[in-house]
Amino acid sequence: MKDLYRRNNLRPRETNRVKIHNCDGNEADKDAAFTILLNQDKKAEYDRVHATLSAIGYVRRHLGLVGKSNWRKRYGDFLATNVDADRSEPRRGPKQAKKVVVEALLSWPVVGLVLLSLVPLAYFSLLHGERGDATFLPDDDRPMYVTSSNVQVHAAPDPQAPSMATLNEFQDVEVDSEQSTGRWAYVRLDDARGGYVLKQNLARGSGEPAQTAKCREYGVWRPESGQHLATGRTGSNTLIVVNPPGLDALVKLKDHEGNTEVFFYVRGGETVTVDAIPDGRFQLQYAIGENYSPACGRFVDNMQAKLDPEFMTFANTSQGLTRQTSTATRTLKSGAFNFSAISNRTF
Amino acid sequence: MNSKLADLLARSEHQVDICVAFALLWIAAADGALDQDTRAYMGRHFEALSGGLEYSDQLLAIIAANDLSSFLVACRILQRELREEEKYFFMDLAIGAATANHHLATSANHILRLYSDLLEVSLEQVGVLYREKTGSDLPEPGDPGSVLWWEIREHVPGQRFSRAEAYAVLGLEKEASLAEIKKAYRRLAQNYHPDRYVSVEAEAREAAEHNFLRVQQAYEVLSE
Repeated sequence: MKDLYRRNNLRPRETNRVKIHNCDGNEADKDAAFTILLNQDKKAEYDRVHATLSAIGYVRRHLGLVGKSNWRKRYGDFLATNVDADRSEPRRGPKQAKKVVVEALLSWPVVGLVLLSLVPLAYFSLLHGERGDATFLPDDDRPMYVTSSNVQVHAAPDPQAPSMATLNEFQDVEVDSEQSTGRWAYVRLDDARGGYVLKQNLARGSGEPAQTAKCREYGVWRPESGQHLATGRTGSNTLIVVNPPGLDALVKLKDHEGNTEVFFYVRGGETVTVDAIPDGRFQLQYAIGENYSPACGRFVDNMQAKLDPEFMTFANTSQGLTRQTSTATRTLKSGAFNFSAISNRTF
Repeated sequence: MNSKLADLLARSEHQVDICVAFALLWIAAADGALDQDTRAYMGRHFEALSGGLEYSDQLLAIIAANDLSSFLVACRILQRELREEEKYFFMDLAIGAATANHHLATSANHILRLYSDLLEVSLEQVGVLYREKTGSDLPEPGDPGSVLWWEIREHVPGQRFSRAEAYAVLGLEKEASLAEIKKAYRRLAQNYHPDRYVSVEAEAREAAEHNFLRVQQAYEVLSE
């Protein structure tokens, strides 16, 4: 669906015959605006779908879902870089855009900068016989990270080539620019193998700060002590966790496959008793920090994750009418139970 | 600034359930206010969701305000927290919420496809769930931004389609071959055939009959 407001440089609440007549859109977009936006019923239905597609575009862009199987190029109008700004400020039409370009070109410093920046790109194009990409100049192997979820690493620079591995969003990758080609970046995997990833899924820098910024954007809050942050199996065993005064903590119990079974919050200086621990052998992980992001399941600031290398066993045994459950206590303190530091990404 | 949904989640212990309720209300309210059938459906299924009923008015207000950060938070949490079997259960509930009033709104159709990508439940699998629930195929979303789409929608039965309209009714490009036209006609005619809608409610049956006639008329135009 087309965004008739942006294409015709119109504001949703100020759409009338005169505005459409004088707008910058092409004839087809103007005709559509006359037919649809001037009819109350059609406009109401169009506006409902418009609002939904704007929200979907926002979600897809932020969650790396552009290009997935249900994505269509015709929804591209709804992938504005800043939807909130676009709502109040319609896109520049061709007339205004031309004016801005002319004004910019008349500025001599801009002309100089443009010419200077074209030199290395032209050189790169001559060398490689393809359109230059400023982020992949030769000998530029600065760190990069993955910007979408489930990015496939292909054995050859071809989308049909077999997939060798899947990269996660914000994962750091090592790129070999010598072997990168066209739209494809050559990345080295942990097992020393290498493969090709579409450059559009990579960005310069480290994944950690990028993830932190994104998490902060979603919003942060401070849950209550003992508040469960994810659903998993439940049981009748008990875990008591003591968090000494200081930072708040996230506590997880993971099974031997790394699946999180229990995930809860303990504020600094508080003790919680969680009495729905399922049977099984678990490893306790905790992270202290500030500003919990529910969307990311981690702290945004000052996060430090730790792991208890020993597995804890919870078992529910019955003897006659007597039912016995397990209870364990842990104090979240460096040194106790030999907690060892782990990367925040592992948590 | 926190999203409105994040503020609400901060007061609850049931974040995932509330996000499920939010996502279901988004799709249920995609066509505007909730009608009686949809309210009844949501009421039945929200009983199982902790906090779903309690917060439904606030969740609807957030949806009505089109708070983009809230949609993002809900989708992010569902993507992270729902387990494999829960994803299918959720898709089934979402299809039920979208079609509780026997009509799939264009917006709801788009949201279903977003959830399909978000939870990595393929469109084929969504199609199977949709067919089980409604007895018909999941249609392509309509395009209220297209003049042609409105012309077809307002087409009076018996009035002749233009060739451009006929191609669009059958979901084909103008370059489609005769074989493709026949194939599309057979598929759609089978989908909307009145015999398949004998035991459904009158409203759904009439909609199917209307679509069946349109498909027939479009095929007549293109097969000349």
